[in-house]
Amino acid sequence: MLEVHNVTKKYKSFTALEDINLQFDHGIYGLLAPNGAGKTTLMKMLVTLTFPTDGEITYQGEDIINLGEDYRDILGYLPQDFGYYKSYTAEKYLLYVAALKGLNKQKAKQRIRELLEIVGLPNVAKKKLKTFSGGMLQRIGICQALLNDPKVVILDEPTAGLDPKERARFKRLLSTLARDRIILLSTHIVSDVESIANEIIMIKDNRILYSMPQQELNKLLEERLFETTLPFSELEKFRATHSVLSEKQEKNKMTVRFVATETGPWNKVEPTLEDVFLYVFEEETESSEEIKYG
Amino acid sequence: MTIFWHEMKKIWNPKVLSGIVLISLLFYQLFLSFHFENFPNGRPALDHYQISIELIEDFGPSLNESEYTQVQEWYSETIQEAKEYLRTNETANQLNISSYQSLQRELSNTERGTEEYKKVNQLYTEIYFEDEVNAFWKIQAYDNLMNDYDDKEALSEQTGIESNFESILPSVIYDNFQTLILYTGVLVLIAVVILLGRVHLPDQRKNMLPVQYVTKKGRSLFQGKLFASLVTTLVVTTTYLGAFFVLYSRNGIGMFLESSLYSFQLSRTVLFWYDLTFGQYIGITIAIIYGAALCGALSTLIFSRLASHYTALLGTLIPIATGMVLVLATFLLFRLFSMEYPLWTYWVGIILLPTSCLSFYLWRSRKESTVDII
Amino acid sequence: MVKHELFKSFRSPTLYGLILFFLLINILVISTHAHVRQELSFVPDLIEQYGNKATESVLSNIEQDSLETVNSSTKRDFESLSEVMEAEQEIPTSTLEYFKQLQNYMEIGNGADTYYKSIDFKSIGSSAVNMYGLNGGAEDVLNQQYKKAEQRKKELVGNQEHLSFFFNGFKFEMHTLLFKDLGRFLLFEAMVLTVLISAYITTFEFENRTDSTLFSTKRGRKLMKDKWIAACISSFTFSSLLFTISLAIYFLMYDYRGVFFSSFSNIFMAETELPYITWWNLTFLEYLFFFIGTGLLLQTLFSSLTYLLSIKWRNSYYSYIAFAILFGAFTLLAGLIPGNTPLFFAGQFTPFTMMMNPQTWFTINNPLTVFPFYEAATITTWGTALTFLCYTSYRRFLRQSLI
Repeated sequence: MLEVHNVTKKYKSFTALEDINLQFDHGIYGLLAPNGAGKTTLMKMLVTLTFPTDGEITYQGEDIINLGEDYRDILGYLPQDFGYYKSYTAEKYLLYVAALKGLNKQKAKQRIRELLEIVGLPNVAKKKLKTFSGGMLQRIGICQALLNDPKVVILDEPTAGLDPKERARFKRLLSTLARDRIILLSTHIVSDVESIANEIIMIKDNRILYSMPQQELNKLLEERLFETTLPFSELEKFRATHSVLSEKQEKNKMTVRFVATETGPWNKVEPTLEDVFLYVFEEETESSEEIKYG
Repeated sequence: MTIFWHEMKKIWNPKVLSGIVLISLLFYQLFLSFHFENFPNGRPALDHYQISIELIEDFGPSLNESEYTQVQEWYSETIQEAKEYLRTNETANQLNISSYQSLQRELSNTERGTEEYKKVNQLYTEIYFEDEVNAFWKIQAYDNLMNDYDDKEALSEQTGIESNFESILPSVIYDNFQTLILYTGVLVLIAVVILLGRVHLPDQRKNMLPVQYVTKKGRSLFQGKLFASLVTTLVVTTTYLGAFFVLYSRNGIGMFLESSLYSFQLSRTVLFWYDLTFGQYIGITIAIIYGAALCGALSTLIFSRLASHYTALLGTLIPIATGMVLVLATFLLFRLFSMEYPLWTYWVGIILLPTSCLSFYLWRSRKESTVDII
Repeated sequence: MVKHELFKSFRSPTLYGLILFFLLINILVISTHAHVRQELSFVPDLIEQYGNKATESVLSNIEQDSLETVNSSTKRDFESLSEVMEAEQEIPTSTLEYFKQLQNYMEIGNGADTYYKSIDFKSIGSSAVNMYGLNGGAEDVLNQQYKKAEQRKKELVGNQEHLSFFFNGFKFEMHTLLFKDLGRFLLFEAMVLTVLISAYITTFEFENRTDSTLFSTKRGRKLMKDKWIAACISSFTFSSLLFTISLAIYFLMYDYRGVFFSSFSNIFMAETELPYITWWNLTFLEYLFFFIGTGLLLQTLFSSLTYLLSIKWRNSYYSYIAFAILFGAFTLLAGLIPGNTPLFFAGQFTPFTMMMNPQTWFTINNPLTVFPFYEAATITTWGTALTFLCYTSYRRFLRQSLI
């Protein structure tokens, strides 16, 4: 169990995160937030790259700073834009990280073979990283995070650069791993965590806005999400009076998805995570604020 | 151990390494080779060297008063030799020069520019540079040597050093050694600094830190890199010193290793705080070079970690390396333990340099475990 | 766009730190002669009173004037300076030093004409030939140059350049202090700054991983041209800063009033048997400006060379190492050419060898570089070659694939 207790992080006069409380048990946690909300800062504290200005983070009840090596031993982390040596082969690079993770060479080689197989790169072990495409590199990044069979896996935008096929494979991989692990991933692509994340964490204005299972999150919009089709001429007016989440062009008309408190001649629809995300982080209007914060 | 090898491989980057080899070869050609190839450098340096070797062969590393009478005999024999030569030389006969002394006298007394002076000078050139008559050069060397020997008692009175100054160690040997060892020390320092400049900085530039520092051994990677760097430093220093001594051994100074620095030949120009043999002295300079190389390594490592780009790295390393070279060149290696400077200067240098580098390093090392990686 | 590139170096605190460190060293070098400051002001005072030429009439005026002063204060009747010196104990110690100096300068001044007549370039030539083991073509070249030097000697004596007052060279070695000790330090320091700056600017995008973004913009790879110009300008600027401050400190420390306008090729400055002789009739100030200008021009050469290396390696660390290797190689090469062909001298025409003996720039005093246009030729040939090479590699960079 990984817990964040009243954590605040300040950089000089700038506050990146304030009074954060979170609990992680087994399963996948999706961290959703717009850019600059403090997502990466939170992740960096969870992996001990930076340290809280206030509060503490505990693993199995002990402060992760005190745990030190023991904590990092069960940790896997994929940073955003992770570093690598261009002139190294995939295997050499992974062996290097494995050494840092304290694995012995024989075991590491075995593990590297397995992992490359899992991420769908079985034949590239001896190829230099500078010849890799962005998607291949990203998969090498995932491999390095999983080398030590970590109990806590933290992934910062892991799906960046992956094609849809790879993304699907990656989702399957996460689901398998999540059985007895904590997996926290941040992403901008809501569909990556939809259907596999047990819990969604949303950060806004340097605070945790929500931390709850998807179904509960969807309740925010239950009975309030509608879809209707309009001619273009009426669109402008409709936008001004309703909280529109998304628009889709169909023939000569627009299909609009929006939130409303009253009912009307519209089709009620089931909310998805994306709807919630757009709704929570949309440009705030007075009416929307009332609904969100009660 | 695995980390050690990984880091070693990164330090021993073939491009940088070949650069260092080239720089070393050039440095050798520009600064060192002359002092190997031209030792002893001309005459009478050669004669000093040869006479001293003969002395050691006959009497051991020091020359006592009774042995000295033998030297005086050799001297008169050489004077005779010179006379023999002059007797058969026409110009000498014309000028009425029959001995070494009279040649020297004529040379200094005759007025410059006159016909006579030209003749004397011509004779001088013929003897010394064209025919290179051994006896004349030898007499010059003997003269110096005997003057020095006669002055040795006055020397111990003047300086208050309790020594008989009977050791045989000509200054050609000492001067040659200290020039060579200084350049070697500087070269070792340059090689170490260039090689280790890249220990931390490239990882930072490549955004490797977030990957490295979250691993089990990540926060102690600083130590891992230190270990690899120190081994590298020792390997480089040993290689360079090894190469140096292979070359130096060909200068033929083995005879003098047992001789004390308190030599009548040397003490005119340089006096030392300790009565060391030349061999011991060489040993100490080796230790100093290892120490300087390790200090250079430590400071390079820290700045490699702190700098954010190569310009900043070089911008800090240049003053540091220059400073260290200056320290080595003024007292800590060149004329080490000579009485030119008070004794405490040397010990302050020997203690202060490593302790400051080490405490700087420990400061950073402690900080490593809690530093923010942004 | 050049402006943006310039900012990259002007904003680097390291460079300012390095300049401070170099200034510290330079102050140490400059202050090695601090103890003779007082004695030195003798010459500017003399020039102030009598003008800067030690002609016969001026010298006898000086002698008369000083005899009058000493006679009135001692109530004696000295007729010449040597008489005064013989009666040393009767002269007040405060003026004794003055008279000693005066006599010294008088002697040099009076002997000047004879001395220049005795300078024999044939024997200077033959001893240089012996020293460097020259023969064949190289020997001919050297002898020819010394013939020109002989001409120049006659000319300068005709102009009375040699009679200009300057600090006694044998005693104070002020020329060596300024142009060799300080000058060489300045040149090396400026070179270090130049290499750092130029490599920094040129490799900036590769090392900050902004290359793919910036080189694909409209200006795109032409940015490399801006970088070249910026590297040269910025090296030039930083070096000028270093030169200016150091020389300002120097001239605040030592009083060169009046001496600035003395002819450079004078006898007083001589530190060896062969007095310094420039190929042209220059005042000290003119020489100083030529020196500074040449020193700074050298920096643009080094800057271009570094640019060339950085474009090749795209890594400043490798560029530094490569530069050091080139420096050593060219210096060494100069010594490897055999002394029987005129090519022997060609090895000297590099900016690196040029830096080794800045105290003999524009003069006939260094047998290896005894050519009137040695400095100009070195800078123009290297400048042209480097411009061509830089331009070619810039052109190539425009079409290179950047991975």
